[in-house]
Amino acid sequence: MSKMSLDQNRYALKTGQPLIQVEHLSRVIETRAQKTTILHDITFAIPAQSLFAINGPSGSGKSTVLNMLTGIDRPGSGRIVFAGEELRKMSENALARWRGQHVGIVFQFFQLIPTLTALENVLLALELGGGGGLKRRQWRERAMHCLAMASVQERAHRLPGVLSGGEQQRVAIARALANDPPVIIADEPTGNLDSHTAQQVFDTLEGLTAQGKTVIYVTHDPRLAARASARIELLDGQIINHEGADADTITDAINRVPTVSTMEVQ
Amino acid sequence: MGFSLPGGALTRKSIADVTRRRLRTILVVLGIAVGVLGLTAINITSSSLSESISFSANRASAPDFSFNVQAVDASLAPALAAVPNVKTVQFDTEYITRWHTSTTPVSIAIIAYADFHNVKINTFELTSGHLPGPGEVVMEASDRQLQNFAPGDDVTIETASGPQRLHVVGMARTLGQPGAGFLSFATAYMSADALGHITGISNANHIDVQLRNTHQVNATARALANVLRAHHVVIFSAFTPGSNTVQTASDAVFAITRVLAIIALILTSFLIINTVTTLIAEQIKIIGTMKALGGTRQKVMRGYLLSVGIYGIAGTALGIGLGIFAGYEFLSYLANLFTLDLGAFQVTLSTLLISIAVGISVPLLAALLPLWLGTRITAREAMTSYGMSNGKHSPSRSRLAQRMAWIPQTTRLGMRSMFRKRTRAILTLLALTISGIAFLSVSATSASYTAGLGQLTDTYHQDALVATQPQPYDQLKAQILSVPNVARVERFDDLFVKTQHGQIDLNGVETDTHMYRYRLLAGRWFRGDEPNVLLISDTAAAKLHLKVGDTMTFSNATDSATWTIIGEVLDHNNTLSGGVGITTIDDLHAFEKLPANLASGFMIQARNHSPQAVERMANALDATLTRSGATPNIQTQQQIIARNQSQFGIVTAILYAVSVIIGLVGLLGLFNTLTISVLERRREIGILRSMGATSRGVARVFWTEGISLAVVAWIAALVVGIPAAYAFVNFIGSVLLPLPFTFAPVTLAIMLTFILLIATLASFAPALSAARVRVSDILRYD
Repeated sequence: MSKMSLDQNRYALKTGQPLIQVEHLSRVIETRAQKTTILHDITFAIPAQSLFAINGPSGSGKSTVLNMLTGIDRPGSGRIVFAGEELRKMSENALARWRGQHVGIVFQFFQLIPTLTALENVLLALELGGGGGLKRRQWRERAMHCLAMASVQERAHRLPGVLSGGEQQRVAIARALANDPPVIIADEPTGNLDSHTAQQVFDTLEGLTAQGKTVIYVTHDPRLAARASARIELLDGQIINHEGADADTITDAINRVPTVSTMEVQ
Repeated sequence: MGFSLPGGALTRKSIADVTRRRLRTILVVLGIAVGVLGLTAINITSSSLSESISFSANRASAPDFSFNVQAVDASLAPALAAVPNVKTVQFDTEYITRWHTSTTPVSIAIIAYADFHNVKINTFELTSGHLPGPGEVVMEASDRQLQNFAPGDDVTIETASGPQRLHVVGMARTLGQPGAGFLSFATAYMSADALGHITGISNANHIDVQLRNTHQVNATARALANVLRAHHVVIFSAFTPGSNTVQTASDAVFAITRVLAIIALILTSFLIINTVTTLIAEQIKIIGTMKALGGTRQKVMRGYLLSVGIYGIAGTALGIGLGIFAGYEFLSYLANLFTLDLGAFQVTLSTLLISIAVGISVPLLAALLPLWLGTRITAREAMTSYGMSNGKHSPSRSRLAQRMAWIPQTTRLGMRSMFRKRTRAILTLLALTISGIAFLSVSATSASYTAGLGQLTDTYHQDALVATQPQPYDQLKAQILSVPNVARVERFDDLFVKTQHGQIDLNGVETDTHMYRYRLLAGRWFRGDEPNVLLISDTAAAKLHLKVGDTMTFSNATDSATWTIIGEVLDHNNTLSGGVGITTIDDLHAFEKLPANLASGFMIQARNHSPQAVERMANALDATLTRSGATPNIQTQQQIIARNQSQFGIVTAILYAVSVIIGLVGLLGLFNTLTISVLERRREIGILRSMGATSRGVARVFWTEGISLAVVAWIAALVVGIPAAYAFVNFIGSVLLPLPFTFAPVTLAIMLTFILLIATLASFAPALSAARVRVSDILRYD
């Protein structure tokens, strides 16, 4: 038995601050011919243990926001503060290490390594992310547990190529959970799935908040966005609507959020 | 629970990258294997050959020095053996004549011993049959390279009393003696009595000596010469074996081939760079995913380096295995050529370690740069990468395209695809260009050797060269001039002497020679009234660090002298042995203490220079001189050229073999590039197919790409190939033979053919694979 802490969520809950603060974020892409504004001075906050949606039509800048939250992309101006830590100051390698420990990412097109089995894909995340404080001999057990959490443990030894889209996405969720990060970030996690499978995958993601995770997801589907506990809606790089994503609102709400600070490995 | 490999998922992925792309793995492993094969084979052959040469020399009991004398009675042996420091003295009779084969007569040296059971120096093995009695001969096994025969057959030789038939009763093997095919010279053994019976020669004319202390060779040789002269024995020449020519030549050839093997390995590294670049290009999204999952650049690099390490280990293992086999086969060939005993064949630990180190480290080092650059990509760039770029629009290219409208679109597509992946295209072009340059360099070496031989025959402008036992000059000259077609005869002789910096071949010519056509580079020719002066060849001047006005001290086994250098001449003779010195024939004979009225070598000029007329003249000379008891050894200029070409042909064959290996690596590089191009462009192939492209049309796209790369490589090789070939010929000059750089323009056309052949071979399978792609497969694939 070992315990994995959720320090960042605890930090947010103890300090009364939002888990993630996004302040005056802008992103402009300049070429010789033209200048395109992807994001224009957006500010919002993400409460800990929330199911947070970033909603908007294609081209609204939602994936860019998501990439910046994960440190995959960097803002042109503004800042992102993650549990008191500012991402912009980190080098590419430091960001990679940080991601491995603090963020689990679920991609729209799954991005599983085709030459590795489902189990090995999860093990790879443990290997790259530092193993979430577990000893190497415990990784396999942890990986199987994550697959079980995503209800895909019976497919552990299959290659991604023989799995259905829904199964692949579940493996991707299991992989995102591998290092027990406090935040799971999903980019259109159901965008490549049929509606039935999409519902199941979304239910799995939603269930993670009950285990103390903060789940941030991008969607262009208003119905999925409506299921979030907090959300922002983007259009042409600007926030046109937000619910529960204002820093003050979040601070008030923090005491009402149940605290789950640890997770046990079976 | 499934099987789990040690090292984790990253290791498993690295192994999967190698095992899932089997064709690419096979190509890369083959590329590494070819480079390691060349290096291993060359190192094994080189070290084993050196050991074989010394092993064989020991077993053959080489003499420490020898005398050629007019005649010596066996009763003198105890007196010679009593000279201090002498360990063994051995007399034999050497009779050089012509052996009538089914084609043209060839020179044969018959070595006759009074007692075969007492042969202790230059020993030979009887490999079949029995020792010869009266009318019988034992032939050297390699003589069959000149004329096929078997024990029980008869051979016919020329003697003073006419042709004599000898019955072959056995075959011999003389260790350390280059084969008859290599020398264009046969060897046979007879009993001294039997030889005397057919030639009338009753006394020995050759003395071999072994010493207790070889450091005192000159003092002992002088003491022995004094004993011989005191007993009125005329010494024609005294010589100590020089540096082992086989060893010198093979060392040089291996130095050259080692350079070429390293070039092959460099090409292999291009192959690795190409493969890793492609691997990274293919897996750019995977790299992005790994970085998104928390993988640092170092961790990602480590995973790919492991894949390259696996390629390296597999390629090295295969290369070493094949290299040992090839090395053994090559060594056996050389051992047969030079009559060597291989001893116990062994591969030294150092050879293995070098191959392992090179085979594994070269791929890893080659992979470092593309990995460093490839993994530099940020997670965002990797995740949003779309792979192949569309390229930039260029107005000039559009105009060119309009003018080239007559070219079919599939062909244009192939040509334009060439540089879509620039790094890969450049590396492939480099590999092909280097293959072309290697071919060009070897061709230039061959042409330069032929040119050098041409210059040699211009300098030594005789139609035939005659060597005899020393006899009165007037008498021999009259006999030679009496032979039909002989226009002119001049005395000519040579002697290998040692100097402080190595040996040279000291040639004696007439002061007013018409046949030695010297080209003075510095100083002057002989005035005719000055003793103890010489000219040296450009090769000797460079090797001995001497110039006009310097003095040169030299010695043979019994004598030494210090002469003044009065000139430097351009002369390509005996460059492998250190070049030549030119002196007057009278001074040379005086140094050898040969009586002034005797002569033993001649340059002959014919009236009719046609090969047939010269061959008839040589036969007539042989008959005439043999009848007079002069035991002539006659070589026509054509035979000398043919022998030289045949001997250097072995070097050229080795160089061509290595250049083929280099070409093979170039071929693998192009094959790899085109195969990857097919894999990457399956969607494009699908579009072509869906638009109605035939298999031939699709294949043409990829064949055109390969041929276009080949043509560009040829153009690049044209630009850099000639200077590179010049440098290579100079390199050969510095380690083997100085050659006048010659370049035949036709080689460029041959090189184009060579490169096109490589390109066609390399394009064949990928083009075929592209032609077989079905649209449905592509849809399933994507």
